[in-house]
Amino acid sequence: MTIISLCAQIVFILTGSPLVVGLMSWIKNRIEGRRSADVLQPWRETRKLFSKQVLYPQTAGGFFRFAPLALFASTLSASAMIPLVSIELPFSSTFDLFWVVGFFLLGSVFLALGALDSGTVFGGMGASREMMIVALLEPSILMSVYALSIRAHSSNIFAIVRATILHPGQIASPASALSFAALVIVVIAESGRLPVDNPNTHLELTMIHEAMTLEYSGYPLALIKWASAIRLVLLLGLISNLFLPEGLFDSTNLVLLGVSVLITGAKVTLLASILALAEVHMAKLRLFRVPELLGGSFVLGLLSVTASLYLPPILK
Amino acid sequence: MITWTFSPTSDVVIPREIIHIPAEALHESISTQLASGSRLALACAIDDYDSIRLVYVFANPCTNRRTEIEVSLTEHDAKIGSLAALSFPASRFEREFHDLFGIKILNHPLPRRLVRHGHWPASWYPMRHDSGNPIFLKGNLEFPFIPVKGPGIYEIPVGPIHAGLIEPGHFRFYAVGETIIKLKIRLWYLHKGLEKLFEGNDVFYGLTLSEKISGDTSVGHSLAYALAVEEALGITVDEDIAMARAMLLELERLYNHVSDIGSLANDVGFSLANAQALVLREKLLRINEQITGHRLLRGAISIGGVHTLRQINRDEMAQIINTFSEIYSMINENAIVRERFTGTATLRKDDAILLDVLGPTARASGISSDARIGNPFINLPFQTAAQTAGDVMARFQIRANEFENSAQLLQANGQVFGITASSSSSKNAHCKSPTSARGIGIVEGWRGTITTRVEIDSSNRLSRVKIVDPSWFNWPAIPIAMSETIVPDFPLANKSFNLSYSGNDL
Amino acid sequence: MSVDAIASTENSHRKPLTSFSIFAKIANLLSLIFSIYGFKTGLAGINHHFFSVSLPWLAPPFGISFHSDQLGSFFTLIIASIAVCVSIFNCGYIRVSSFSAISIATFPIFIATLELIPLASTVPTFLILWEMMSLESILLVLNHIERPNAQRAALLYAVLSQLSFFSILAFFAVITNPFDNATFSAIGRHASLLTPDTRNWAFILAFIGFGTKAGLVPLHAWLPKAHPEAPAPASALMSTAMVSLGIYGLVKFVSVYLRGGPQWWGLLLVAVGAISAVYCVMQSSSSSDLKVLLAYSTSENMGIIAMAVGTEVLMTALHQTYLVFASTLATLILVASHAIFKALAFLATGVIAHVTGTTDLDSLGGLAKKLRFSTAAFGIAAISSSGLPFGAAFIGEWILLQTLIHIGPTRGLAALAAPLAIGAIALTSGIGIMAMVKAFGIGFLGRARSDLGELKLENFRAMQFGMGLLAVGNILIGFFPSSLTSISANIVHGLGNGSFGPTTQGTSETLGFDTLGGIILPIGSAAILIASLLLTTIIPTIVGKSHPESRTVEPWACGARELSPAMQYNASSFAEPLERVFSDVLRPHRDVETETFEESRLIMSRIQFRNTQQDAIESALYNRVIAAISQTAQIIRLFHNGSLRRYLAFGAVGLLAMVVFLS
Repeated sequence: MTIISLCAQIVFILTGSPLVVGLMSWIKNRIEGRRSADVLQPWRETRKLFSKQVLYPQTAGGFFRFAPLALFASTLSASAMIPLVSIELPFSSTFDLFWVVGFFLLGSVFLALGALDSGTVFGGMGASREMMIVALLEPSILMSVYALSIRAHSSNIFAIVRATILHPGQIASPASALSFAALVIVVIAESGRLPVDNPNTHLELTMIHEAMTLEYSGYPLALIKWASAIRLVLLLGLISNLFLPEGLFDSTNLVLLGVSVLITGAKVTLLASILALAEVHMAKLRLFRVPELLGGSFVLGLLSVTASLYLPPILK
Repeated sequence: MITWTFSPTSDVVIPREIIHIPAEALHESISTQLASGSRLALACAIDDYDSIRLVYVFANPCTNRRTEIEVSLTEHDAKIGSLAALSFPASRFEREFHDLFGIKILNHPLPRRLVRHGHWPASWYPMRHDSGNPIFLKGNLEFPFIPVKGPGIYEIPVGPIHAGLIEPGHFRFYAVGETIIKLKIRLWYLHKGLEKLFEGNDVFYGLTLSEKISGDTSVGHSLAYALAVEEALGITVDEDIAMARAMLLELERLYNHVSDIGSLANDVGFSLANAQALVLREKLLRINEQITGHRLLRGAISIGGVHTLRQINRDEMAQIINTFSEIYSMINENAIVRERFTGTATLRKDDAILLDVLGPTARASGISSDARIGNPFINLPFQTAAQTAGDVMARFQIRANEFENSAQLLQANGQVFGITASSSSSKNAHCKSPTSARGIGIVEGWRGTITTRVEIDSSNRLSRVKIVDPSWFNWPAIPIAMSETIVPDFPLANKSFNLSYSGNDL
Repeated sequence: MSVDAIASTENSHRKPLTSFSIFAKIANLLSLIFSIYGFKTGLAGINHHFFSVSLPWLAPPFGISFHSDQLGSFFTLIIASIAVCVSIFNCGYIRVSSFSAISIATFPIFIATLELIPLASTVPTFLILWEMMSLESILLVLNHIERPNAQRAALLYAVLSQLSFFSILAFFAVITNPFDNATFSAIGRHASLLTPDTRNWAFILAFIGFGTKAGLVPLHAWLPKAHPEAPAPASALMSTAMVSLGIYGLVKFVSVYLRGGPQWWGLLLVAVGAISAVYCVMQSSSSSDLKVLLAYSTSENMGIIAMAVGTEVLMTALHQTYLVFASTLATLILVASHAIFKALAFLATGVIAHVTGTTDLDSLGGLAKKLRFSTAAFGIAAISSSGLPFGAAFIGEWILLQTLIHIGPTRGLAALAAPLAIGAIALTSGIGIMAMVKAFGIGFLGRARSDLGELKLENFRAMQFGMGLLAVGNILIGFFPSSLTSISANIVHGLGNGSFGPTTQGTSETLGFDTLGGIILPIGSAAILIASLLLTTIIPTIVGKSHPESRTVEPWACGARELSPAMQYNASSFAEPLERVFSDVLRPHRDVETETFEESRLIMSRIQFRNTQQDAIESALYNRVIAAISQTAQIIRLFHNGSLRRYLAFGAVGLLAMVVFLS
């Protein structure tokens, strides 16, 4: 039965992620006073790109062609390892948070290598910036994982979520608040949103993630865009279920699964909307201020660890 | 030496002089001019068939005196010693002389091509009368930059084709990682032979052409052209026409400054402010259309006259001032935006003086350059914005300040519009001189001082028109301001200068 | 391309003489025999069939004797596994590269020495072999004795090896019972009787002695200088086997014989390990030379392993038995996995150096199109080393992280150890990923950054076979970690004399500890990844309408045409953002010199950029020491004229001192 949960989760993520991106840009556009395309627009664009001819630059090598597939596949794999609509997934006892975080990294590394293989300046520039952020983000991610694992005595995501379901009071602790704050920064940086990266810019010299995709066209570009949408939804879903696992059921009942899909969808929609609302009032940081933000996230994670170890939760 | 005065309107007196000197005396004469506080506003070469004439135009910001220094060179072996040691702008004018007229510049420290691209055939000098039609060379021919040497340097080529709706220009960064070692800019992809298009046409055709020199500066360029023609033909205009023209210039300043301010915000990812700025810009463009019949203010200036349809009422300007101050504080109070603007792409005052930059760029670096005060065609109590930091923030603040000043001027003087008038003296104006008449128009456009010089022959045809957009002076400032700036801040820095390609390339 | 690199290219054109090639063949054969025999011995040893030889007549008066145990056999096994692959690789490499006769002769002996050190059972045997190892590796570093860089590196290396040697000598002096025999088992008996002060001194001496060999900060400076100078197979061995012996020394003498100590021992090891890891990974990511990058990465990995050893010592002090088990396991796995991926990386780099004549990343690029095999080999090594899933390095780091997150609340400084150690590991692996993306992406992908001429491709079979074996090893560890973990767990159990209790290690491919609540199953995730990849390839046909065949066109490249080789991101640039972020540590020294015309300071005639990257610790600490040493060298030069002999003189002094001490 776990395979049904898995299928539901994959279908949920694949179909839902472009909608979340569409929703976020709809919200931003409306607040800015523009008429906006509806939330289905990213889906139309994906479909359009999948139907277009693919152009490969003659300077690029084989890795350039392989990278989008690897990125998409590793992101898809990560989405089979996170309790998004169910905590009953195949192999769930082996999905350690360190391991799953590694899958996100794997995707970033493949994309960066693909960008370097494009043989142009901008690919390398984007890769260099992305790798700097990855390198500096890694401590905050691991520190947050550490903080979360203390509560559950395990770094298995499913164990952490189960522990929260069992003892919901534990979440009301300073440690949780701190690690939540640290993870929010991680989510923003990982998904390349403001103030770290501006996904809507056309100024190549300022780009981070987009600079790596400049030479891509057709379905490889669609895969990259889709993968970043999936990554955003995964991170939002992960953060909501780590801290608010209500709506996940320890059962493989199909009705309950449907309910979980709806509740998780609502949680992700809510978080995405909040993110979009916050982004409207945000500008992009200068590139060398980003490390300070990430450093802040690390410190929050460190405080969270200390609090988890030495401060008891408010509610037992 | 010939001296006289000219009054474009009754209360403005412009002292004029023309000094003919031999080529050997050029150096001394020019240094005298520079020492007297005048700036080199324009330098042009004129092919007089049997000889080539060089004219250096100086404008004095204290006395409003405009001096032309003229040198005649032989047509076959035109050469002149470089003035690079005296003035950096002169050294660039000289390179233009060489590229367009084939004048040899002796002892020039950087005798490289400026206008000519690689595919131009050698010894084809398009501004000469006998240049003929060129056969352009095929392929992307070598036109190397001065190499920057060192370990680990890579080059970022950007353009000439850009993403987004911007004009063509090639930027070459020599960088190590995010550190820019040297930026080089190659322009003149938009070289249209514009100055040559004026030649042989009547002055009214020239007016239409001058409106299109740079699309966002129709009033600035057409007014500078009109003033030059009026001086050449001895046309004076009434006070209300001059006033309406001055206010049109401010109207142009308004819509351009607000879109610059919005773009600056957009370049740091603050699209909310940009959206608001674009709304305001649209309001202004609609007002433009109601006042002149054209959203970009074309057709408003005529030789000796002005053409406006309705007045601006105080309330609509008040509303615009309010909206603007909201946008301004939205941007100015955002901590991230402030942080991005402050200290980015600083143009130091001493560099700015050497480069002789103009307009908001100059005023942001602590130079009080404003033709509305220094070389006016109407005396009005203009307020000049001033900043000293020279960074993006300073250029942003200058624009915001100028927007407010211009809006207030328009609020106070909006009733001058609604007239379509032209000077009585323009009705039967024609060239009175047996050989040629010449005139200079200086106008403070929204980008800075525009200088236009015209010569009209005895048959009332334009024989030579030279236009100097402020971008000509300001483009070399960008690489210098970029010296301490990182690669990803370049678009913001570039936007804070917002120079014209078309106005520069001509 | 540096002058040295040009020199090496020219040298490699030199056709070896026939007698020379016979000599090389014999040396190769010996290397192979030694390494295969070592492999057999190691394998037998971990299965309790110990190697035992006593040669009292050799090196009188104390004799030479070997009696292996499981731990030693494990290290011999790792060293021999690497040595087998390296020897096979060398069969091809020796003919095309510029090995000097001395290096060829030294190579098999070096392999034998490395394999024998973990088997030594008496102090004199250990010391003699240790000193031999140092001397042999100095000879290998001096392969191109004419190069000034090689001479400087050898001098620095010789000085630090002697520092290491004297510390170890002093350590034995402190720990050995003068009235007992000098066997290790006697040391073990005696160690528990020592006073705490003596034990502390012994720890510090062992730490300096073995830490230097492992390349821990601040005594790491020889490593990035010496390793790139040796021929690729030798640097592969030095960077894997030899540094591992430093770790072997720490584990064997600090954990096993001293049986741990106060908390501060562990904290010191963790702290120095963390600093080494973070500092060296930063240096690694900012190096533009492939070999220097790899050498710093070795120091970085040794730092992480030192953290594992430190955790083990700390856990012993805190009596957390299960975590002692876990951290020792992490140590062994980290040593093994590091050896296997770093050897592969060095061998692939050797091929690159041979084929292109340079290891300067700023002039490489686009090798993937020409050298598919070496690219794949380096790619596997790079992914394996960067701590990504399915990479060999992941397993060890993961076990170490699991250990650290389960430490729980403690008192005093130890409370900070776990969070900061995790932060250090995270930062190290993050920057490590960047370094490896840089090495692989800049060096092998994209376009060439300089005209490297026609690439020489010859004698590739043996080289490919050697690299292929190592690549398979990497993949095996990455996807089936239990192949390594079960062996290592066995060893750790042997060390603990059963005190660790039953473990969950078994036949399953799951890796983890039920008691710690952490399990990973790489092969399960690999299945998911493959399924995802299949899904990814069919998605375009589901979602899109049919689209025309793809086309190869000019790149967009932001509107530029005719891209020159310089119009590509290079290695110096790739790490520049990070150098800026960590400028306090890395101290990049940059300088732009512009010459302007006297007419106008705005018109430039020449722009020259300079960039000198220095190891901040090295320049702060060593220059003073080196100054002192070279004064000493002045005295020695009175007796010796040849420069090679001058460096070897340090070794002679060491041997003399040892004889004095032992007799």
